[in-house]
Formats: sequence, structure tokens, C-alpha cells
Amino acid sequence: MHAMPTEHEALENYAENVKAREDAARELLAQHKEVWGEGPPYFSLGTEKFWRALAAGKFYLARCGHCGHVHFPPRVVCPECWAKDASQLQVTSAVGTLITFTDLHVTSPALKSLAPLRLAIVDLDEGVRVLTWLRGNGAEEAEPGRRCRIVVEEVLGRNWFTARAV
Amino acid sequence: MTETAIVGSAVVPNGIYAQPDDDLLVRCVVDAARDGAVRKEEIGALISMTPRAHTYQQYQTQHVSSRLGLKVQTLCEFELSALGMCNALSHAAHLIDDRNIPAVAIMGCSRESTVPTSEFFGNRTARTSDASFIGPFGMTPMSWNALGARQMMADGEATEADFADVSVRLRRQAIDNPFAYFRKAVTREEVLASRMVSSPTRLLMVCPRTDGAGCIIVARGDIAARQPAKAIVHKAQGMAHDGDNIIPERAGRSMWAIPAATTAIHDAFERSGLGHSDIDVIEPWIPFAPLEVMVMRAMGFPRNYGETYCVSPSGGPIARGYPLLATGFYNWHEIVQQLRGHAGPRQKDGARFAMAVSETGNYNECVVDIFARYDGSCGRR
Repeated sequence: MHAMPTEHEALENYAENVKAREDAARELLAQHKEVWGEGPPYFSLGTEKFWRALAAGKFYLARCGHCGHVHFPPRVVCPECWAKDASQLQVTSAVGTLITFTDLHVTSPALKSLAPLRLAIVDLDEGVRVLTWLRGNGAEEAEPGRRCRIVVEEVLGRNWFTARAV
Repeated sequence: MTETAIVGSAVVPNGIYAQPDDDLLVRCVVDAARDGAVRKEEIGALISMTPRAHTYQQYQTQHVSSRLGLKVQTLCEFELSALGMCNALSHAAHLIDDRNIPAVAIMGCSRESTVPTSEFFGNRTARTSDASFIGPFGMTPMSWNALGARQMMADGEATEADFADVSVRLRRQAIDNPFAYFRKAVTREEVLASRMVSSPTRLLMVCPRTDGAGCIIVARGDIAARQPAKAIVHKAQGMAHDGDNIIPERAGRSMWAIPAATTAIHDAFERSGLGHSDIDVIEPWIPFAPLEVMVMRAMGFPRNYGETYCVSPSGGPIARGYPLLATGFYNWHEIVQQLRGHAGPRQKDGARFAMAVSETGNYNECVVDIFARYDGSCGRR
């Protein structure tokens, strides 16, 4: 039978776990920079799996391993139950409804060559909200209520998730 | 709790300044102290809004204190933001109560001309929302507000003409404000013909980025009693953050409802014992015309609030100018002038209670501060 750790031993274990996690994070950060440079997207333990999948052409939502809450973007801590394994990847239909949009005529210098960009909010059927660009055929005529699908496409040399009118 | 009041206020006109932040600040502190009949030796604390990244002078609070020859019990900084300014106001009252300090100066400066627009949109605003999942898509504060404006139109709750009329009213009201950047009227047609920046929001529905600085002096009751007709009491503060930030993560949430504003005004009314009909002047922190419609609706004011209430008699950020994070000083300054009865052609007759609304749109935080005259009378022309 194991003796319960003392308060001091528990704190020692906690500190050791933080250090071990940080060692793993440094390795992942180096890999993240190989793909994305200095960002954005910026490195986080909660989102690393998502961005790796996106670079490989796959779009996922996130799910809490404890309570099953499906959310987006991925998080380090579940916003519902505060469990710390909130960033499991969740397969999605990637289909939803256009809620609203705006055409960006003034925006970041990095995106100037694409302006005006149609920035859109799509509510997926899984009950989560995604902000992205609405692109492709039918984007200009799309009105709130139109069905959309989230796809992965290369924009300015990188894979991003974008919306297409269905 | 020791009785306190705002006794002095000063701002510089909205504009583009070559003078550094500390030059503007020391002048504002002196002008506010003179306005409040407060002696240098009576200022026992200096609260500074933390300088923005463009400021050359580091440790500016100590620097300004030294340049003014102050010897204070406390120096402290609050974040230069809507929330920071409101927290500074509360903290000043606590300092006076806790340490029996006669007077506290709160100062802040924001010089937007030192930040090129390309950097502003390319680097700064993109990181005020989720820096990885929202910022890279080119999101700006104009855009999140425009997303809400489009949804409001789709819901049949507002039209482009409604948004244009906000700018028309604000530009008209700013004509008589000596601290305003734009002092020329515009028509609805001119607003609707102006360049699109983030549809449906057009250029003349958006604030101009300006430089500005200000200071208020909060003092003990015995100092306020020197000029009772000029002193202003902070009656109540209501505050809320709704949790959602820029883009609500759950499907179905409105992009224009701004629940934090609803909660904050109820909180302020409950603490003050006042209601909508008691409020004579409202100075909201509104950089985009559609946002005014959303916030006033969220706070429970009627659809025709622009005709039935005195909203932004100073012209607000859209006409007065937007020294982004120093905006609170300009809202307070207008409220001080209105409650004193010193607002000239802008004066709301009989102004007794005024409200500053420091809300940040889809950041979904809101502070409602309610002010009254120290002597309980009305500010008349």
C-alpha cells in the first residue's frame, strides 16, 4: 500500500510535471516553427495537433477527453469542466450555416493582395462557430442562411481553413 | 467611506501632436489642478495609465511626478484601456479613504499618430482577438463590429441609414466642441457615399485616429466643498464581462447583442437607485456608428434614443476624435462640463445625472459610471 504524498511531496511532483511538460513543449515549438515560422498561428500545446493536421490538409474540431464537450478553437483547458485534456481532435461534418459576413477593404498589410476579402461566421451543425474567409464560387452572392462547408486550401502559400458556399 | 469628488478636469484638443506624451501630461495635470483649486502639495497620489509601446520615455509615471515637483505617497499604473481607466477612478477613491490623501491625479495619453495605420491593422488589432484563430484572417475592430451590423440588418433591427444617421448626429453635435477633431456637419447621403471600409461600415461611420491626453483630479470632500458647484460625485459603477471575446464560440449567439452592456447598466442602476429616465447625458465609448445602435439597444434605451436622450454631446469618438485609449478622459471631461453647466451651446439644460459608458463592443466588457453634481442641484445654461 502506497503512503499518501505529503503536501511538500505533492508540490515537488507538481513542479516536476510542469518541467517535463515544458521540455516536451520546447521540442514541439521547434517543429511548429519549421512549418509556420514565427507565426501566426502561434505555438500552443492546446492547438499544436490541430495545426499539424491542417498542414496535412485535414480540418478538425476539438473535444474534451473528460466531459466530451466539442469546441473550437482547441484549448489547453476545457472551458466547460476545466479538464486539462481538452484538445483531442474531433472529426466534423464541417457543414453549417452562414450567419453573417463583412467584406474587408481595409485590413492587414499581409492580406492586402487579397482584398476585398469576405470574412464570414459559419455556425457548424455540431453547435460550434468558425470565423474564416468565404471564398470560391458563390461566395459573392452568399447571404446569411446559406449552407457552407469548411475546407482546407492553400492561401498565400499556407494551408488555412476556409468556407465554401454549398 | 470618505466623501470624494472629481474636482478638476483637463484635456488637450484632439489632434496630431509633435509634443511627446510627458509634455502633454504635465500640462494636463497642472490645468486640472488649477481647474479644481487644488494645490500641488495636496496631490498625494499620481495614477498613470500605462504608456503605450510608442512612448519614448519609460518609467513615465516617476518622470512626470518628478517634472511636476510632486512628493506623493503612492504612484501606480493602470492599463491604458476602458477598463483600466474605470478601475483607476475607483482606486483613487479607495486611496483617499484608506490613506486620507487629500487629492489624487489620474492622467493618460494616447498618441495614435505615432503608430502607422498599416502597423495598427497589421500587428496590433490582429492580436487583440485570438491571435492564432481570428487575427490571421485580417480581423480588425471595424470588422467584428461590421459582422454584427450585417446580422442586425439581416434580423431587421437596423438599416444602413440608421447607422449613417448616427454619424450625422455626432458630427452636428461636435461643431460646438472646442476639443473635437471634426467640427463640420455631414449629411446622410455623404456618409452613405463614403468609401466602404468593412461592409456595411463606411469611412464616415468610423472614428478618426487622433492624439490626445487628459487628467482628472479626485479629491476629499473638504476640497470639493471649496467649489461645490464645480465638483462632481461618482455615484455608482456597474461592470461586466460576458465571457465571449470577439467571436462567441457557441453557435447561435448574436453578434450584436452585447450582453455585458445589459448587465453593467442594470448593476449601475441597482447601485445608484436611478433608472433610464433619470439620466440626462450619456457619453459612450463608441468608435463605429453601428456600435452605438447596438450598445444603446443593449442598455435598454428606446430605438429613437438619438432624439429623446442627450447621447455624446461632445461628438463622441466618431466626430470628436479617437485618441484610442485616452478616450475615457474626454468622456469624463464632457460629463464634468455638462454637470457644471459649462458646456456652452452643447449644454443639456438641467443636467443632473450623467453616464459614461466604457464598453468595448465584441470584447464584451462594459463599465457604466454614473455621475452627479456634488451640491445636488442642476447644471443649467
